[in-house]
Amino acid sequence: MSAIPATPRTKTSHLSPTTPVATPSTSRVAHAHAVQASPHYQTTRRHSLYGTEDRIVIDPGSRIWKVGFSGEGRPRDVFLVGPLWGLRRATDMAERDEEDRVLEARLQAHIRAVFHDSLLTEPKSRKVILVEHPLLPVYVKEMLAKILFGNLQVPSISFASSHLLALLSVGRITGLVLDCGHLESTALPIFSSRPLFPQLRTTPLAGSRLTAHLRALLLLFGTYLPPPTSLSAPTNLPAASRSTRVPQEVLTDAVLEQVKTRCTFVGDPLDTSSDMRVMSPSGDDSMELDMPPSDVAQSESDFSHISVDLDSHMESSQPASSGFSVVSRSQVPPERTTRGETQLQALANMYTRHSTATDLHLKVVPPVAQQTGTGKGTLIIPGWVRERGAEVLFEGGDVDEASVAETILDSLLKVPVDLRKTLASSILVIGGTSMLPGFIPRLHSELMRAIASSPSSSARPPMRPDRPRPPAYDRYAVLRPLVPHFAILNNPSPPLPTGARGNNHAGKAPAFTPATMAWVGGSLAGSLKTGGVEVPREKWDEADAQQDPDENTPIAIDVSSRRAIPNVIPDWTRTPLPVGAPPANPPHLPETAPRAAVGA
Amino acid sequence: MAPLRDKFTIHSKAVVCQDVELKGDITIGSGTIVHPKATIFAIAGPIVIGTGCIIEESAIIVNRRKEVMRIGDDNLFEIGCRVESPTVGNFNTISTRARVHHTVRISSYCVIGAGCLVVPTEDEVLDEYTVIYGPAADRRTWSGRGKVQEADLRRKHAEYLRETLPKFNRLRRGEAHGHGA
Amino acid sequence: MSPSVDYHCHCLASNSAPPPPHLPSSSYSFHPLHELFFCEECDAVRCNRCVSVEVSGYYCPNCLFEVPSASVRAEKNRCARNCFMCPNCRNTLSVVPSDPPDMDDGRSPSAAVSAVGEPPFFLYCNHCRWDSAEVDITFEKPTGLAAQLQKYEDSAPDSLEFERLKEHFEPFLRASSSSALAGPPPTAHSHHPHVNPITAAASSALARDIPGVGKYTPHPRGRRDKGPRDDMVEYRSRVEVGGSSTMGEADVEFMRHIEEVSEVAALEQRWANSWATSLHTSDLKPLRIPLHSKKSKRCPTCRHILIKPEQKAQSVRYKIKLVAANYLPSIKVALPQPMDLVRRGAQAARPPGGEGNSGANGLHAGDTYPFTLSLTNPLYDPIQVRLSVQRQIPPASTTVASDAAPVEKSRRPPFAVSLPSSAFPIAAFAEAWEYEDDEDMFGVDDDEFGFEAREKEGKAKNKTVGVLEKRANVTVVGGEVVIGKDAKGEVKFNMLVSYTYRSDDPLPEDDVRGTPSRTKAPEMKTFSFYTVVNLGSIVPRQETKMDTDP
Repeated sequence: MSAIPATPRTKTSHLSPTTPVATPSTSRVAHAHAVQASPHYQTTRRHSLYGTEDRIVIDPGSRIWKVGFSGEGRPRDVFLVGPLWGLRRATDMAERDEEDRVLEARLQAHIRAVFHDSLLTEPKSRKVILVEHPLLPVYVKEMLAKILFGNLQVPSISFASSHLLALLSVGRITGLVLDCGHLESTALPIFSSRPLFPQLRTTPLAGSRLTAHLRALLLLFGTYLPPPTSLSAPTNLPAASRSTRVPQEVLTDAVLEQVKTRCTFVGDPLDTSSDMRVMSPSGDDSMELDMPPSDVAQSESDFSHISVDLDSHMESSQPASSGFSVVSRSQVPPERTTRGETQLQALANMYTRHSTATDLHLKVVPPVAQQTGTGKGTLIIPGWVRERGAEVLFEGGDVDEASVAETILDSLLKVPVDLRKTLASSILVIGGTSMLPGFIPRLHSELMRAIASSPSSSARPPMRPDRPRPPAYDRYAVLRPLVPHFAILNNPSPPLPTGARGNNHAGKAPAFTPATMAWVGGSLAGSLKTGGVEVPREKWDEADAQQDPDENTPIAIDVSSRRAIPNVIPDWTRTPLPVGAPPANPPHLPETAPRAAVGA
Repeated sequence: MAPLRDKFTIHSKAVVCQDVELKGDITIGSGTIVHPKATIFAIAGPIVIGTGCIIEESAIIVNRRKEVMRIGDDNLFEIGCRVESPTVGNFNTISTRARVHHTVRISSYCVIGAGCLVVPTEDEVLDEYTVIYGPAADRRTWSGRGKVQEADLRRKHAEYLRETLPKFNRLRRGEAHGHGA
Repeated sequence: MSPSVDYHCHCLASNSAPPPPHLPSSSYSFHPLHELFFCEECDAVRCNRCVSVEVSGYYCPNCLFEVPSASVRAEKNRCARNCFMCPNCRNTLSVVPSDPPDMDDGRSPSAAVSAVGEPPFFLYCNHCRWDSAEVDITFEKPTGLAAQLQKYEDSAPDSLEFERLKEHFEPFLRASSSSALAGPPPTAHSHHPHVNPITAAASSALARDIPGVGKYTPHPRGRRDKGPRDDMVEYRSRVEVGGSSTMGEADVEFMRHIEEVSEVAALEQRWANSWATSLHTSDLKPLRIPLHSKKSKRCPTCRHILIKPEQKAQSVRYKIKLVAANYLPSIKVALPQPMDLVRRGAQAARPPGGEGNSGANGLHAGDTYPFTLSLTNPLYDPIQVRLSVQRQIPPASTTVASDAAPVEKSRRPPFAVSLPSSAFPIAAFAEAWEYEDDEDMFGVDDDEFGFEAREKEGKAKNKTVGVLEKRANVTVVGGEVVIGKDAKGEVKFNMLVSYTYRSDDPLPEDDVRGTPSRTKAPEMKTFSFYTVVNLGSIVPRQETKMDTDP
């Protein structure tokens, strides 16, 4: 177990043994409630008026929501909701309650806007399909349900797994789905429309990490040209002498979003290990020559960590350095050339040499001190940052933060042997971050590389260098025979078929965009009159009413009553408690325990 | 720099209102309309404005360079814009409160959108059909479709102004009269 | 931020007391008065977060055409006429005819362009000069463009693929549902009472399988197990992503060599496309303008209509309009000018200049500030108003969240507010006042005003709390806030406003809480509501010292 990179979520999988066959059935009381449909609902559906057959499909991400009507090929509206929730919650209960109240208020505003502004429809007559990410925090799900049933009074909600829906959108019901979204990348095998939740694997290497990484890279390697100090000055200093380091304030979320969505792409893999070995001796004199070659990968993963440190450091040092305007500085100040930074510099050098991507100029709002009404500043994004920024997603080796490719392979390792081939040959990549041009082909080669690397030639041993290296453990050896079968269904540049078998699925999926596949699947499920566990409002109201008696009154109660409601809402993390598990304390334990583990 | 002597050469078919601030050596071509409260300053070098231009209220045209600032034909300078370009071609539109720096030369059929700042630090020539728009002064290239209609509209606009403005404004006439140098 | 007063709506919560104002979440429960409604049936304030909304009509915000609801769905909530948005800058597009054939670069003066124009017509953006001919969209007629475009949309690859997927899954679902009916497996689905094969299919094929993992074990369980699941016919895409020109190597190459960010379409311009589309800005298509709806709003409990607009899109009037501003006194808060403070002489240490700089926003720790509340009565009857500051520790947090209690205590506001404790009157609203000059409005209540003035003169230094001024239907009262020595944050407090008015039709069930002051009790009714008063943020003490020391 120690060598298998356990994500923080491993706790979840403890709930059920790894071999699915061994999982005994458990009490399904809660579930039974959920699926049972009332006769009333049956009749209303049959005799519905024009149009009400169409359900509303909501794909609520933590950042971006996609909404529309079922039966349509594209969402009606897509909008940014800002990061609504993250991987962490406040540990202090009072703080957490407050966070939840804010979240609920924001969710409510957004959901109301979905019905009233985006779709212009009345919630009371519309059933809802909620595209549910398997790791959507339960408290968020409950809030969504509470708002939909309570505030908006929708007749029913169907909870449908996003990964499964995405598979539907490519015409399949079996496959290994990787969702590379904002907070997490999650791989989930699905067999014959059954998500194998215990085999789910996840990593926080996803969109938000990419953003943080790009920010760090730009702070270190970007260049900023402030706007001219005065418009009337007959001549201004040439750009070269005005260029400065990138001030922190310039890199707003909006700017980074621009960089991420319009400038960044994913280049082909570099043969880092060999290249670095060749290079390090002849490289910069500041390079540490005694750096063991195998440490290179380590440095690469330090890349992000260090840059995060730097981030916080910069914040504190910013006020002091905000006075500069026309000073030309070296991009990396000497006083902070730590070891990590030297490595960063080395990496930057290497990437620069190998990148042919053009540098881009982006207009940005200057920091307040420079807002002299003379226009916008210019941020120069080095080409290699555009091409290599996303390396952070493919940089594995960390026990808690497997690379995206490793996440897929780990999940595959968990799957029963006889399913592996089928699943490996139908990998589907969805989620907004995978929209980066070149992401999917790169993921394919990373998969190949991760499998191929045996410990002797491994460029990325998972252990720290200061510890004795464990005996060679070849994690993915068992998967190696499957190499010819690996195929990403929606690979836009599929590798040439290797002949006979497996990978002829590659690139055969319809050309829906990875980001909308889950929504499209939801729409499809809705138009096929199916999709997920349906919870009618009556059920919710019943459960709600049962709660009422022991409710005394005011604000704080609001929170606790919400805690207690939701046995009606299906939740895969709750049900499969192994036999003999201690009787769960219904409201609190089961729902907080697995999810609280997420970021803690 | 030596201040230029005021020397205004205004074509007899141009319409230049009395309440216009002119300074330096300025030539205004036939059919060009200068609204009241416009400002044209030839500080360092002369300014030559072609035919059929419309210069609206509180537009400012300044030449800071020694060379002659040449403004072509049928350009529209909207209210409150400020132009210092050494050359401006034909059929350009400088929208309201746009500001064009002296480092920019404008060719023809360009549009500078409302409120756009065009202040590059290095010298630059805007290609024909360049459109600058939006708060970030984005650029794109216009296909040129519709330019005939626009030119037609521009001429009608100028024609209308030539008829209407003199009814309500005193005009500045004739050549080179001194102006409190 | 200038001082403000917002009104509380409890949104059907069982507890009508507002949340403590220092919590960020409390801002969601308070609203400006003009956004609130008032339900006469329930005698309660309603806000946009709790009312239920109904669509009373659709219209295009651009052409103001009212769209019948039957066609709204088919036209995807978008205007079906000539209204389009520029994909580039979101400006409205206009339809223009093509230029007449070139005449020596369009400069011949005789080139009178014909009024009608000639086909092909295209869409043209007046702002960024984008035109639809760039993406090969032109029209033969200048009318009904959306309908002409509809054919493009109906044959869009995403809808065709979608239909194909439906056809693909339909037989499978039918098969699995019939098998599910034949032998209901003894699992989670057995309790399904549905006879509806579709619903059965839903659960059998797609329902998440909660204890699930047992499901795929090779127990022969009905046809589904041997049957269709993997032998399910392989889906063949209409357009395979691997063969399409987008998203592959070409995109990477394009990205590698772009010169300007603007060559790549922004995410917002692409994200609603479910189909793999080009990254290039130059390939963006015109957008049909989304319709707006006119909404009527109902009280969430009694279902009475609170507001209902007139049907016509051009009209901005309402058939029914029960807005809170017509029922509750409006309150404006102001911090007096710095001059007043200086005159009061209470803060001798602070140089007047500094005070002027910080303006009304700077509340210095350790100081005392007067503030005024001017209340305007919208009712045609005079009212008696009583103000009180909400007790700061709400009972809820102490009794329930035991671990949260200490935090709440430590959050006890670092300032103390005094408000006039007795009830004061506000005169009735009369239309006439709207037309009269300010001076005429003074002295409505002559003797009281005179007394007030005398009192002001007499003890100008400490008379800040109490009724300061009365004119027309406005009464200005003064309050005072004492800010703690090491206070920081915002001066924000909840204020309970109760007003007593003469009821036209006294209802027995209405609770009469107010102590009737001048008139007989049975005719009087009292309504109470909470507000939050935000006086601004506190300037920490250190800064004040820095000001004074040098």
